[in-house]
Order: sequence, then structure tokens, then C-alpha cells
Amino acid sequence: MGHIFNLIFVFPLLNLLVFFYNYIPDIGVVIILITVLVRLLLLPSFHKSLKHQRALTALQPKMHEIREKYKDDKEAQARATMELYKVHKVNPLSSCLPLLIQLPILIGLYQVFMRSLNGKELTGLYHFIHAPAVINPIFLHWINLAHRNIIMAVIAGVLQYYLSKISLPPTPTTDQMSKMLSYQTLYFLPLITIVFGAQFPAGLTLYWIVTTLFGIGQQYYILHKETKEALAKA
Amino acid sequence: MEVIKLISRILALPLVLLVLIYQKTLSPDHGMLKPWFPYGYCKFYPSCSEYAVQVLRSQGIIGLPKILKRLISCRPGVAPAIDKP
Repeated sequence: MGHIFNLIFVFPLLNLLVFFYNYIPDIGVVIILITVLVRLLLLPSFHKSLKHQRALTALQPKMHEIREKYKDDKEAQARATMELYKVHKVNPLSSCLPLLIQLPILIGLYQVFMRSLNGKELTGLYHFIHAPAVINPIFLHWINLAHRNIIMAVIAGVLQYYLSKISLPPTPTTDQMSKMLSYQTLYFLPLITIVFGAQFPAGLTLYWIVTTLFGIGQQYYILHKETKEALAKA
Repeated sequence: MEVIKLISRILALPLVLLVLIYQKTLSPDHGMLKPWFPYGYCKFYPSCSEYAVQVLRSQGIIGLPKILKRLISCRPGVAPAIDKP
């Protein structure tokens, strides 16, 4: 089972990492490169669901109406909402399968960063990939990515907080429950990030920082676009 | 037959626990991230995790193929629907 997992998820990513490392002999830069690559692959689905979400702002009053009408019947609520989406040709819903597929990829990525940083000999390289004698864990002649790094963990946590904050959709002030929940999550997620980030080699924390920065960039792009559209309408 | 069903349901208990933990934490439909998905995440009703819990509770691990089938159908390009176990 473990071997099959390696074969499908770990080895391809590991070979990609070593391939880049042979050209760019700084493991930190390679981690950044691979992180950005993975995020770019996930970009199209993200933008599609976002487009639909925005179309929904216009349907907000109708959604509210449905929620009020079928307060005690979740199934009828779901049926009416789906009908509304169908009529207006929007689909803000995502799907579970892509979410589930991302999980093993993420675990594979973590494995690859760990393996490349632990100083042991690399296994699972393809024959056409030149194996480096050793992978130097120093990033920019400055940070040892094989060691723990609390400062980087804190940076990751702060960025995580910022991303959660700017990506939180506005909730109606009447919904106290959801407000409480978002408030809790807003502080809990960065805390978890810092606690975990401080345990792992800094290479993983670097991955987390880069992927969060990418998310912040994406969010800014959307907010910028929304303002522009609002101005064009006015 | 009854015995097999009972064993199947007992064996499913740890799985139910796992799904419940998922629902309380990472789930975009039931968990902490819910405020970030105001329109819901899963395209089916009940959501895939809710479906899994219901199947595991009533049929036990014998229902696993059914859960797998539901998860595979929850992908882009499939229309939202009501799909009860």
C-alpha cells in the first residue's frame, strides 16, 4: 500500500524536484517553483467557481426567500435552491472528488520535501534523472530548510490569518452563529499553522508561506476585478 | 444474515467516527470553514459526508461501494441533485 502510494504520488514529484534542482541548485527556490506550479494547475477550477459565486450576489434576495420559506425542511430548501440555480444557469457548488484527490497530492508533496531535506540518499529516482550527490538544504545562503524555524512559522500564521480575513465572504449581521464560527476559525487556523509549522523542517513552512501568498494574490486579483466592475456599472 | 449485518455495522463504527471528525473540522459544508462557503460546497443533498454517515449507520461497511460511487459522481460537470441513500 505504502509502495503504491510512493509510486503514484511521491516519486513523480520527487523526480520533478530533483530535475529542477539539477538546474537550480537551491532547494528553497525549487520548493517555491513547485508550489507555484501546483497552484497554477489548480487555477482554472478556482476561477470558474468564483465566477459563479459572483453571479449569485444578484440572486441573494431570492436565496433568502427560499431559506425563510423552508426553514424547517432542509430537503425542500435544497430542492428549491437547486431549481433556482438551474433557472439562472449558475452553479456555485463545487464537488467533493477534486477535494479528495488533492489530499494525497498534498501528502505526497510533504513527503517529497521531507525526503529531499533529511540528508539521506534519495530513492525512487527515474533512470534518466541525474542524481545529485547531496541536496544542500541552505536557502539563499541563509536559512537551513532542514531545521525548524519558528520565525517562518509565525510568518506563515500571520499570512494565513490575512488570507482567511480577506477571503471571508460578508455575512448578514443577523446570522450570529455563522459570525461566531468565522471568528473562531479566523484565529484558530493561524494558530494551528504556527504550531505545526514550528514542528516541521522549514522547507515545509516555506511551502505553506508560498501557497498562502499565492492565495492572497488570487484574492487581490478578484477584489480588484470586482471594484473595477462596480465602477464600470456606476 | 442478521449476524453479518451486525458485524458490518460494528466494523463501520470507526469509519463513522472518522467522518464525524472530518465534518467538525475540515468539511466546507459542516465544519469550521463553513462561513467561507456560504452557498455550500457539495453539489448533492445530503452532502457526501452526510450520505456516508447514513449509509455506514444503516448498512455498515457493506455500504462502502455505494459511498465510493457517490464520491466519484461528485465531480465537475455533474448537475446538482437530491440523492438520498
